[in-house]
Amino acid sequence: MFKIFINILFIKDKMVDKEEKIEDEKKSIIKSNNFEERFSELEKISARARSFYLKEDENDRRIQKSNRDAVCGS
Amino acid sequence: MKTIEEFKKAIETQFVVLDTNVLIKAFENTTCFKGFFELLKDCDCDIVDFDLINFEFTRNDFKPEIIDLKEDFLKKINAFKLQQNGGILKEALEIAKVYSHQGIQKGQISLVDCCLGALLKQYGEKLFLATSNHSDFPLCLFDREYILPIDAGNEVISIAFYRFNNEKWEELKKALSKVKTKEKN
Repeated sequence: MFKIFINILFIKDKMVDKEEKIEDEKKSIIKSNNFEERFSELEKISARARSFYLKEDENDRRIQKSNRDAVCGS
Repeated sequence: MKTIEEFKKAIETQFVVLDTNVLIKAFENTTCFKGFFELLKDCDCDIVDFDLINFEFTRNDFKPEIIDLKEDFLKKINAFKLQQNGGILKEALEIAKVYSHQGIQKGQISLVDCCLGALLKQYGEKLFLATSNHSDFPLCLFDREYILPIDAGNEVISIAFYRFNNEKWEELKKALSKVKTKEKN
């Protein structure tokens, strides 16, 4: 009888451990998904900034060229 | 300097403030910084907001498109706003005096970096600074805990994690107070 009782307690403990483990795993999966999501959002912002800077550089070059042409033309 | 394992233990569940140079590089090329952000995530370490860094990060921009992008980046990157105790400027001035006494070239370390030093002092063990400007955080006052190289294609960025060392601070202050006493005599 005592042995059965101990076995039941042991199985219950194991189940609780397993449940906690599953919960921890779930949490870490949620966390890592959030990280990937957040990181990809940061990457998108960065890509937009780079394309903005590229356009700015092109504009600057165009302005410099037209200024040069104006000076040479005169 | 610590090994990666020692460093991970030290930074676990703590806070990190990114210097302007790190923020700018991360903004311009986020993909290269994946390892850096992963390290902070693995250690459950939160990036914190510091108004003066945000000021430096955005001060040269006046076009709304880029201002919006930078503000969005800051919002997404900073998880925490630190409660700042008053007196940052007063402590920054004390740090500047210590630098001067240590023979660090006058004015070499900017006001913002002195304020960052004061912030690190206020939060002690809990707060790390990630920077690639190593000369602005002299080892006479800070501990360089770890260096993380970032391969950014045409350059390799060495990001070091610094922490304020209170023992060093007490020693430096003691040395400075001796000068003051001598002057009085």
